[in-house]
Amino acid sequence: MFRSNDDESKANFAENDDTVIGRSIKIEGDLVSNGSIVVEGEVVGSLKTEQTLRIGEKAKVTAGVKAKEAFVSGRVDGNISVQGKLELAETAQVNGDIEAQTLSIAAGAIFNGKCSMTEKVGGNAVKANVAKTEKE
Amino acid sequence: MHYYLYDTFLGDKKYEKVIDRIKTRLLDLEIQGKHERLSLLKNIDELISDEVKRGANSIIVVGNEKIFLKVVDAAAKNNVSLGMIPVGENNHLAECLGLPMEEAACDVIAARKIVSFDLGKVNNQYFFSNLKITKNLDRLSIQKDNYKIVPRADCESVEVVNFYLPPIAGDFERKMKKCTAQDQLLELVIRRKGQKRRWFGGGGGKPQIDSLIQGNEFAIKSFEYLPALMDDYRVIKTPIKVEVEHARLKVIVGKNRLKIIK
Repeated sequence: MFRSNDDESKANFAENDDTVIGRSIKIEGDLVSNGSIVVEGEVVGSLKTEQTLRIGEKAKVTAGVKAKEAFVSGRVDGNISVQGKLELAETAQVNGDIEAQTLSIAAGAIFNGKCSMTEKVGGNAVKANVAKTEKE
Repeated sequence: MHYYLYDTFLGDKKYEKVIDRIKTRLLDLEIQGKHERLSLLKNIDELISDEVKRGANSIIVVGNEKIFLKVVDAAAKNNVSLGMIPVGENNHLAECLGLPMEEAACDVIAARKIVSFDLGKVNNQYFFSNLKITKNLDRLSIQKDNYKIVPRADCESVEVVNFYLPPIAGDFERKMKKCTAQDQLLELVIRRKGQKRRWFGGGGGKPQIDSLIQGNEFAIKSFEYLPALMDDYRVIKTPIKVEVEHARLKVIVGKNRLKIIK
């Protein structure tokens, strides 16, 4: 009931995250990182990481996104390509195509675009199905 | 040979006994050298480079962390090791380095355990802790690799941190654990303005860490010249290029140093 914004930012700010893009900055260009990324602010360009990507509730990403795993709670205008699991929270809004091995979309999430899932066969990822999806 | 530099505030009478005890202990441990009291008219950089030419290989500062930070640039440029005998207040850095207060630190100096630290480099000047900009941050842009970071108007400060010094003892922010000065990386830390104080003391108004980006080079530009404060004592103006130099400074440390210091 009396949860302050301080608590909120603490919750979002895990100690192991290598790059944290907060609400008070805007990134323009190609952000490439070997470590995990947390986005709470605005990114325009492209976003690529070999680790986990978290896009916060108030974040706005206008970029092509590539990551090992991604958790989206904010808005993404661009294509998302994930090697492993992609999770769209109920507050997520994605306008673009999705490519992932495992996909989870919470009720209430907005997704406008094509979805292409890859299937793991003997350790190799194989494209299984392409479907145009519109879920709200 | 050791070169002992005494901070200006140690001229105060209340420190006379402490200084005597330190000198006696140094004599007992047979690590004597040249002793020099600093004054406003003496230039630290010139004093150190002159003494290095005369054969000094260790600079030992006596005082608080402010003098340590002022000596870092000259010590790195002259390639000598740096030690500290902490006296007075503001000695969180000494705690981090495992240096006990006053004459007890002489034993650590004698043991001479040396650790190398990275240093930040701005326009050919070195800094140990941080470079901070607090004014007109919305007119700033920071270039890193292939992208640009643009702070918004609600930012409180933009810092490039090499080694994190907590402003108040015991107020160590866990998020700043990464700022170790031994990882060949600098951390760009952007703080957001604190919220206004609410009823019953909520909010607090303390600026929180908003963004943290690691890298080994940042180019800071602005529409106009903006002052950047280096290690809380030297002001330089934008545009600036900040980079890290690995293992540039040798520092004498104690056993009880922070675990993150290798």
